[in-house]
Amino acid sequence: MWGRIIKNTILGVLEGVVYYVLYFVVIPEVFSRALNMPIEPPPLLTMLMLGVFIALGVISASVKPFIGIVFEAMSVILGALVLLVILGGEFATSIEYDGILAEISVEFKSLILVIVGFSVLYAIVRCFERLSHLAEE
Amino acid sequence: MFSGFNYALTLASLLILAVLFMPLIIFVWDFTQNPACLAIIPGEDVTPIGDNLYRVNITVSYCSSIELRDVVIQVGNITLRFPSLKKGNVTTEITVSLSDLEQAPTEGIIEASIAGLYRFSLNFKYGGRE
Repeated sequence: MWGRIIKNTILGVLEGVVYYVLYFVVIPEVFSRALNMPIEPPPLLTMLMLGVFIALGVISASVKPFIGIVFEAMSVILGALVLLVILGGEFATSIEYDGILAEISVEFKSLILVIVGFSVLYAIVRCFERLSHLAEE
Repeated sequence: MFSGFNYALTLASLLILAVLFMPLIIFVWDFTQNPACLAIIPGEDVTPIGDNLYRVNITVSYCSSIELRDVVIQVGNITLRFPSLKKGNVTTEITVSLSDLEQAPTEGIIEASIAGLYRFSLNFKYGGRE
């Protein structure tokens, strides 16, 4: 029994870290490099989100599979929300060039929405996958 | 069945995101390399057409390979509209009044849509932060 609990906890922590890295590190970093702008989420939020993702992952792996689906979907929805909060869908900066002060703003909400849409689709597929495994057992 | 679907979904999402992301990356890269990528160059010839009105050629120079759509350029009282702007120079003829010519514009706005996907606005002011 203890072996299963430890295995589920390790799997849950890994799942939480993967979601955290994907939504809090990889995607914001891609945007940061592509748009040439620094994206630095507050350290407190970073730690909180890491904790929440790990907690959701551990709960998802530990509880009964049917309930675990809900927590896994929550991880994806939380990730999508994090993206919307961190990136905001708009980038604005000002540069001075040759005596001209330029304030530039670029809206990329559509791109964020596509990422959120794919995340939700992926979560739905994962739910069906787990449900089909449940039916087979 | 689901693992195959997962791979297909991941591949499709990466492809679609790459296609959507590319114009933004290229546009930002071009502007980072050349801040004067989008420039408005007034022509030297001013032709009077009567009643304090003058005809002036204005050239808009654009350096990026990403097409801009629904371009609105406003400098002072002058507004230029282009349905699309591609790499190169576009010259257009505008009619301005004497007061427009005498009044040197100090600020302007450029609004456009990057490849028709991302709304972009640039407010510029001559004289920097002073």
